[in-house]
Amino acid sequence: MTQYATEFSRTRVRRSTRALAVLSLGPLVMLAGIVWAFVQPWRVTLLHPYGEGFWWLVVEPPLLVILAGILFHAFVARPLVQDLEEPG
Amino acid sequence: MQPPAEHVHWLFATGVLFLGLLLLAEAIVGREVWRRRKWRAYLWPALLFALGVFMWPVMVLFTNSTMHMLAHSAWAQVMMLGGAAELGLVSGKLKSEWWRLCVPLMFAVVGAAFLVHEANPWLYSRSAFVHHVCGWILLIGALFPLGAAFKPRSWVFAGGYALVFVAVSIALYSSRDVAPVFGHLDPSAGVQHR
Repeated sequence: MTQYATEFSRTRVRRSTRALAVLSLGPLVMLAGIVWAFVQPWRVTLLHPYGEGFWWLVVEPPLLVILAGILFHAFVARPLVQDLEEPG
Repeated sequence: MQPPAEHVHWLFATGVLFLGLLLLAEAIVGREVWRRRKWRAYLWPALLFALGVFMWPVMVLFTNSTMHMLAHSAWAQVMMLGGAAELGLVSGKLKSEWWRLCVPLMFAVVGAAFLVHEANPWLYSRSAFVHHVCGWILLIGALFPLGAAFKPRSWVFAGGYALVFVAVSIALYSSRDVAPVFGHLDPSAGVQHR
């Protein structure tokens, strides 16, 4: 392998690792929210909505965590990885 | 129609978590790649500024005491200052790198305000515990944005800076109006409602 090829290969490996790290952030956050919903199901009032007030139905922390993960993955992580893997 | 205080904490926790994710992604890919799309460079400073703006209604509506009101208004002002300074730097309207010190200042002021406005000891209730934890995380965590201001390419400072936001969001999500912490709940805190 030539010196150029070795350096190119190292660069590709480093970029892939960073891309993987960015792409894993959103799913990890979503997973945290799902685990939380199973551990504390009473925090998800949609599962038992009767008699709950407006704010208890709108603000459900495990669902907010999942939502943050989804939004981050769809609108930030994916375009960011595209930019990361395109030559500057 | 006014939300309970714990719901406000959870909403802010979501904003702070998203802020932490943005900063973590920037730390991983580096500033050059992060700023390759103009809109992305404005994203987290704008979110920080918006969180500061949303702190004003909290200041107006949750006036348990004068100290609460002062703490919330201090938070609002320094969060807006931190966000605005970063927006100015990103847009190129602010040239001096010294403006980067606004964020560590924000951390220090917000952390101090958390500690000052919490009159009760750590194990008084969950809420008191969360306020002490957030205060100390932010006061100690101010070292990360401070380091990042002088060494912007350091992964340790940039990553630590992001993780401080994630840690604060976890603490805020665990906040409850009246709930025990490690089995402790002072009788004067009230009755646990849920």
